[in-house]
Amino acid sequence: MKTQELLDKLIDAEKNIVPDSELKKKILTETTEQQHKHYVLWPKLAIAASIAIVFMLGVKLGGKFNVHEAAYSSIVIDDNKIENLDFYSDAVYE
Amino acid sequence: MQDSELIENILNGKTQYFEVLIDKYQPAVFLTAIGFVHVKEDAEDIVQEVFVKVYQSLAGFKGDASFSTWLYRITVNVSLNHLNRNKFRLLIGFTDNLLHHENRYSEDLNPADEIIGNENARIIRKAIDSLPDKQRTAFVLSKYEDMPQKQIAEILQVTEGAVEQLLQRAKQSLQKKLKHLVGK
Repeated sequence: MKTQELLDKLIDAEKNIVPDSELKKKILTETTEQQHKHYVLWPKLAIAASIAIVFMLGVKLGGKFNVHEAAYSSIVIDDNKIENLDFYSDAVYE
Repeated sequence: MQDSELIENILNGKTQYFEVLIDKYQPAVFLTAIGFVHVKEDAEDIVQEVFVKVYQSLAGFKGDASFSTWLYRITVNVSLNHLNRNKFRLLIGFTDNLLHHENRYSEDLNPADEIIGNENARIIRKAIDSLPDKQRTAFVLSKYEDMPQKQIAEILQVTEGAVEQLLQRAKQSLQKKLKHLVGK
């Protein structure tokens, strides 16, 4: 079968391809890097968790601050009660 | 040293035994990868990816199947994923061909081209690559690894009868696609 012969020739030729001699070294380097990446992740997680905790504490703390109505009204300034504001207002100028 | 002993030593932190594992199985993994991708550099990338996955997953290896069966399954999966990822790259390579740029299937990279001719090699590879995944896997393991049908069945998790069918269909498909080459 000629088709089979062609197939066999291609396969036999490809079976003779040899990988780079440095391939094992590349594999070992990458497995070491992957291992290192795994350990380096923890500090990042700790920082992210700290930021999240501080943020949540801030929100909770802010929620505890309730301004009393009367106290609130005392700090709101009514523009009309400012002395001599009439001089600067078009509505009352004559 | 048996595979189980090697694995035990690696998991106990004796990582130098991983080098022994690589020495033992790298040729077989490379051969399977070449059967899928036909290009040395791509096959090397696959080998690298396979052994990194093995290293990361070794703790989860339960031993239900033999280590070599497990390793071949990873190799097949990584090879097929590599091909799917590079489908777009292959399209670019085809476009490069049209523009007469150098491509990875050039004669310098594959000795098969010198033996059976560049064009014939390209057609044969295209025919193998057009096989459905399971047929292609069975074909590669059978022809490149000279693997018995029983072992192929374990890797593919099918019966031996199913493997025989896959190989028959692959053979028929290839004969049909390559019959115009006969007589050239």
